[in-house]
Amino acid sequence: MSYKKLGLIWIGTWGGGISVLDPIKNKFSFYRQDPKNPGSLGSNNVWKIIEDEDGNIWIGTHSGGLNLFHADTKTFEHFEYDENNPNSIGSNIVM
Amino acid sequence: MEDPLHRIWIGTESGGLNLFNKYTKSFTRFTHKAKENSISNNNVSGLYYDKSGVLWIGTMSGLNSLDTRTLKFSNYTIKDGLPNNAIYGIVEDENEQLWISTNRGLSKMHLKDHSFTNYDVSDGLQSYEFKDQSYFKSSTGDLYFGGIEGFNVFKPENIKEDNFQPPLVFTSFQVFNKEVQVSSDSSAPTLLSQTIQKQNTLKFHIVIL
Repeated sequence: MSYKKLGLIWIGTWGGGISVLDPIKNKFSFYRQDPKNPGSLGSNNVWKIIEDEDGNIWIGTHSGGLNLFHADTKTFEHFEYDENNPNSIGSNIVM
Repeated sequence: MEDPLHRIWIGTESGGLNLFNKYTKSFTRFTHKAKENSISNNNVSGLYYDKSGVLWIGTMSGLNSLDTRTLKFSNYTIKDGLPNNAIYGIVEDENEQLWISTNRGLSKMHLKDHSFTNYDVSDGLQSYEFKDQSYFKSSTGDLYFGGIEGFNVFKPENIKEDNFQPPLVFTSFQVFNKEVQVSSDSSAPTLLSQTIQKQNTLKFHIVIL
């Protein structure tokens, strides 16, 4: 769970992707994996959400690699294991 | 986990510890290598960056620490006092102590001397077994650890160490149900009339005061 600077609460779930709660409006928005959309969340099983110093949201998923949320387009950039690239992430299960 | 130098440390399952440079978008992998100073297991659960610049790493083969300047790993296991080598969550309290959830109870590590104090079900834990990624420190310093039978929440400063060692007193000694008296002083001869041999029945009475 992470608390964004905007005051939103990011909740990672197991099987249901990410739910984002706006506590002022008392409303949820959802992000889920969509196999047809490469900019969607990499997996609906979410282990970890962190917010870095620059306000970026990073998501560790189970089998969908590391995901970076782009707030302007509301899309996710995926960082996945690539056996041919030693500088890729070591596994797609990111705790 | 982001460190003060804005580097992102990532634990993976089977892929070891990874360091991500978000400006070049490339990863450096730290994986287990036999006979080399390295992480002890490629399954990494919890990560915690302490105030002195040490990264603490929970693995399925014990707790590791990484000096992020020298990139040297150290490993702590049951031999060092941990209750179990499957490590889940790592949280630091306000008194330079790490609280570590494992597959066999909760452990407190003193950062000053790297000694461990362990807690189990008799101390009030939900069960012996805790869960991956189920740990949290609140803004008021309360620690939360989730396990297979629920979760524990506590203020670490309220968990007092039990340093009381009750005096143990030896009160009597019997050979074949006959009491052997104590000598009147150290120069008096022993009151055992013969060497104890082929005796099946020896009784020692001790009392904890």
